[in-house]
Amino acid sequence: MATLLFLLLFFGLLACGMPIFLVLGTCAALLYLVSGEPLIGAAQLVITQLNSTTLMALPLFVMTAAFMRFGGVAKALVDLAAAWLGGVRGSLGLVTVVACTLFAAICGSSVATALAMGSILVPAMIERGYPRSFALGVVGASGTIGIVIPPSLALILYGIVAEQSVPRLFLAGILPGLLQAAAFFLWVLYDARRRNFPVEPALPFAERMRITGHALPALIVPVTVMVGIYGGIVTVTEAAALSAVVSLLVSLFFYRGFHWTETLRIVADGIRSAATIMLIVATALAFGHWMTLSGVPSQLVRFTVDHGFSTWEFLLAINVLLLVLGCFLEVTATLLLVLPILAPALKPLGVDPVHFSIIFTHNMEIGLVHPPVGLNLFVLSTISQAPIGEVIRGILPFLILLLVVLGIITYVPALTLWLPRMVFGG
Amino acid sequence: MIAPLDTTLRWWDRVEQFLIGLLGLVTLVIGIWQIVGRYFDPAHAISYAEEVIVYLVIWAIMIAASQLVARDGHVRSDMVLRLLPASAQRWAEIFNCIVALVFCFGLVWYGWQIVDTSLLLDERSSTDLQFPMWIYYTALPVGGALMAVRYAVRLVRYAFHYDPATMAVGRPGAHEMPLDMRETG
Repeated sequence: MATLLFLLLFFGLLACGMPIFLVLGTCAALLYLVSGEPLIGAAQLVITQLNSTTLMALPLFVMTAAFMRFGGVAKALVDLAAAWLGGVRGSLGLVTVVACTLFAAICGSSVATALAMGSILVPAMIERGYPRSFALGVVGASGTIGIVIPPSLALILYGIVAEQSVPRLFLAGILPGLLQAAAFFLWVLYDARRRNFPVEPALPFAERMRITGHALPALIVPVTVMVGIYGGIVTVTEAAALSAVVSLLVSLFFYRGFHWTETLRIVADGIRSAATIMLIVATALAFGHWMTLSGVPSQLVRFTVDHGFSTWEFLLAINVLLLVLGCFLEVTATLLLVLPILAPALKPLGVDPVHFSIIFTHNMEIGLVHPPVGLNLFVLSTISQAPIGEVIRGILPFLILLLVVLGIITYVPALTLWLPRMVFGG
Repeated sequence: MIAPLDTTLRWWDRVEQFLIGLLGLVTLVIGIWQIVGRYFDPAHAISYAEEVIVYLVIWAIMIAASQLVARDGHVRSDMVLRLLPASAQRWAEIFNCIVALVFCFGLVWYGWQIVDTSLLLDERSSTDLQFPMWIYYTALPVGGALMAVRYAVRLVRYAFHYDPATMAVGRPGAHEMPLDMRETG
């Protein structure tokens, strides 16, 4: 009964349009009050937990994404993909998949990827005579690659909450991310032939090399991050700071996305972006801590074991739960609310936490494009002025592909675990 | 809204923005300094960069929280809200502001107690830096107070200056939007 009331309050406040950080903060405060814990303990807990160097990778990567948005980086990557894919039927659709994958390796946020790419590629595709629903669908779906390709904000948070090594999680995300990109690529290739999409002229080799050269500075960022982290040169947080600085400098001096006098304003904008996520993180931490204390996780394990759920049934149930939650909550919030309950249950049920991290984030991805309320759907509808139904129609085939990929990720653990085991052993 | 108050708020916003930008820039410089120092100039290398980054970023974020209130930039799902008639939306927003104000006062009150205790105990960080922790903790009550001011302004706007035509704009979270779509204070 009390649980039901509480859930009603939680979703009621969300429905009022209250900011998510405030909903979490208010509910956490109420829970502390009801259970007789002093509120100062909650405040102390939050400020202490925020004092974490690993956590700082998060705002720094968000800042990187913010800098990248101005620098003409997205444009350079689109040109790069277009230069090499010219001459293939439906090449602009393929360009979207490839450019989104590259951009995802830079910025770490799915919605930012969809936005940056959508504002360039959707008008371009419509102009060349692609159906608008297809253009929106491929951009929205490809944007979700951002959440598993490193550096991934979601995986950093997962690493902190589930106490896993972030570099290991990053490696685990690469193959599933590429599998998803490949599935999209093949589908677009097929769809382009079926519906006879236009062909772009192939560029001469010298032109291709020139465009590749122009895109190189943008590609420095993911290379620095990967080499830095896996070469053991820098920590994840240092890599985040490095990528923020490199992206700022590249945008400022190479692509000249903004004047240097605007630097403070751009940095402030990056911090504001980071703040939206960090406030949710802070309040969700208090919430999650209460959740762990309340003994819900151990009850969950007992329930699952008592009812004879097998591991795969457990995973299936989790998939469904996450898809439903992803329709209502934002990625960070879902992760921080659900993970403290699930993380302790993984070991007893024989689920590898690294494997689970990718299942988890892939679910979040689907939530981003899943009707009725995936965030990417709304972003695309906003930037293109298209009705939401059209976006949904365009995204449907990709949604099915995403569900198939989710199935593969869930039931073929080797796909996620092979690469981290190769590199780190274990 | 009354003109002098608007001017004050505009200047307030600029000061906040300047502070955030400065804190962010110093963060980046210190981060690079640590990496470069470690490999190229060990004599001047610093070991406490990551610790200082935490203090700077948390301070910047707590100030930015106030700016996000003014820009309606805090992530929320306003799908249900936008289905309501304008007058109901107004009451929902007023309700949100009041809850936010209570929350912010809690942040200031308990934040201050943490700062006070830390001062009393002369709490220092356990690193070489021996950083006085009360400076870091102060971000909590200051952030709460700054946000409270913005929420109070928002409350007044919704209570006395509500224009259903302009107030009802639904948008995704600020961190997901490009600059040109959200630079409206």
